[in-house]
Amino acid sequence: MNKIVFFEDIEQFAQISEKRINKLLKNKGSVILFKPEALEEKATYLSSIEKQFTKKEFKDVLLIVTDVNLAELEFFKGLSADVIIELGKRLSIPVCIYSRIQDEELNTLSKWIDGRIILKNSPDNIPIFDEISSIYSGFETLYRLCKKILKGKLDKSIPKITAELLNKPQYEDRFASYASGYQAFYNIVNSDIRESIESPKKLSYIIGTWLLTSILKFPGILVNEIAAASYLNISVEDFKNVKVRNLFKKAYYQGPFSTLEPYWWRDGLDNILIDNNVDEGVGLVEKKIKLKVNPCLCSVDNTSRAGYYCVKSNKPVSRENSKGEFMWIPRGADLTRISQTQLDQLGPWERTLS
Amino acid sequence: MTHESHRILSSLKSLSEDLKSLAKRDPSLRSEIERVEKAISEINGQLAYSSMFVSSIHNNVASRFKAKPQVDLLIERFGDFAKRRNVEHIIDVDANLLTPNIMVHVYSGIILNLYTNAVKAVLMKNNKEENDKILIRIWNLTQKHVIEVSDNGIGIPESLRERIWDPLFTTTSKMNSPLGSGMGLGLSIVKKTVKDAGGNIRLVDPPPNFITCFRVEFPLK
Repeated sequence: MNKIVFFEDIEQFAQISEKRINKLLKNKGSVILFKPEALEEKATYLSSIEKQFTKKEFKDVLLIVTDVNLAELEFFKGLSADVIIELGKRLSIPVCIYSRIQDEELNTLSKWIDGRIILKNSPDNIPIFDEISSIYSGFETLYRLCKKILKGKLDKSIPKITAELLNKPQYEDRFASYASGYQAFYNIVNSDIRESIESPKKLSYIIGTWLLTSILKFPGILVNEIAAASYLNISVEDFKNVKVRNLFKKAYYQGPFSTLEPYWWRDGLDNILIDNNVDEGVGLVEKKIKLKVNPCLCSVDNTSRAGYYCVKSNKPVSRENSKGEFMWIPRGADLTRISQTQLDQLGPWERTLS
Repeated sequence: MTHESHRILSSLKSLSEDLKSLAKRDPSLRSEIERVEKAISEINGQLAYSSMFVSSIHNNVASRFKAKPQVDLLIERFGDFAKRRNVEHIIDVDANLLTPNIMVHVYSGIILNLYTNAVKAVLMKNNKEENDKILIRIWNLTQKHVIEVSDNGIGIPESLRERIWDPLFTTTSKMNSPLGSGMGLGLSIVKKTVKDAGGNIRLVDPPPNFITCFRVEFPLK
């Protein structure tokens, strides 16, 4: 059975988390709480934890979840998530990070750009357990699919494999457009796969982390709820209406991580509009279900039509009131921007935004 | 600090969860839940600012940026306490006004310190005939960038106007302030920080209807 390893230095939280995640996973996997062993002389934190991971109980670890701050972990005083991330890289195990307080540093976009999976919730919020369970299921699905792929001759690029895995072989170029710009996975995704990928674990680690931290995070090929509402020009509130949402059912993304939050294929949304001979979502809703919905307005001035998505504030934004020309926004993420308000307030603090 | 803050926040969150369970039987507790949730959100916002502040210290890069969004950010994160006590906030800063070349945490930290002093001053006032108010004005002259933080609080007696800059001098130790007693380090640190950034700070005559006004000036070149 595949496993999740949980790093948490406060025993009380660790135990609650273990129980809740195990309950959600049922028989799909299990959780191991990391119990540190005394350090050997001259061993570094990383080498010591890596050695512990060679034990039988850590054999089928598919995901690591860690508190950003592990300063009080026994024998490892002052340990931080950075060591666990390095461990994940070495062992090809994806690492999800959370913080118990709203951590501005952890929420900076630079963390995502570095390929880090930052959980939205903290362990004090029940939804974190669903979030972890969804991410685990996504990696588990990818792992199974990658096992099949690696049985044959592997002579395809990562974007091509990804497009095929998601049943959209025609989107190879679009996925390739995400392997551009200054993002952690640029080199890996563009590297010669035959030299670098030897196990399904590694392949699923690369594709899964790329999907989560780049393709799903920065709307372009796929769009989240806010980006979809903005693109379709339907207010975010109206887009929550099930009747409205059902009109776009055909464009639902159903691949790995689709239980994390709803996503839609952007081309699928376009096709629905074209098939119904309308330019925008508002028109479609009126035509199909005779419902008057509000347009999606820009969160900066509340008057102009939005159309785009601010990845910092998670709000709809117009082209005029935002900026999208950053070297870390992948070329394919053409609906992703940063609102002027966020740039003005946080730009001087966050280098990525300046 | 973070682990201690985690624990405080965690206790507050667990208190909120307990209250929610109890509120199923006793709906009168709902307003208490709202209060606790607000407190959690405020502490979260302030801790987030602190972590941003600490990260910025490591960056150590000076730049020019728009002043008003920084004032807005401070009021968003720290203003709820005063707003709940009906303190009027007047922000008089042009939306596109640029700061001098300065590190953002230095600029923000100076305004935050003067702002929280102003909040303490208005809340300590016993005579509430006039509404409590704080005014933040920022503008550029040809050679100078000027920041003024004014309040209509308890004021600073003439005899103490020089001593307020001394380290460990405080006027709040014997007062029952809801913000607690200051250690008397804030203004002396602000003065040093302003000086290190090439500026100066002084008490000036307040605008009409205000009692105290601190003015900070930075050279623009």
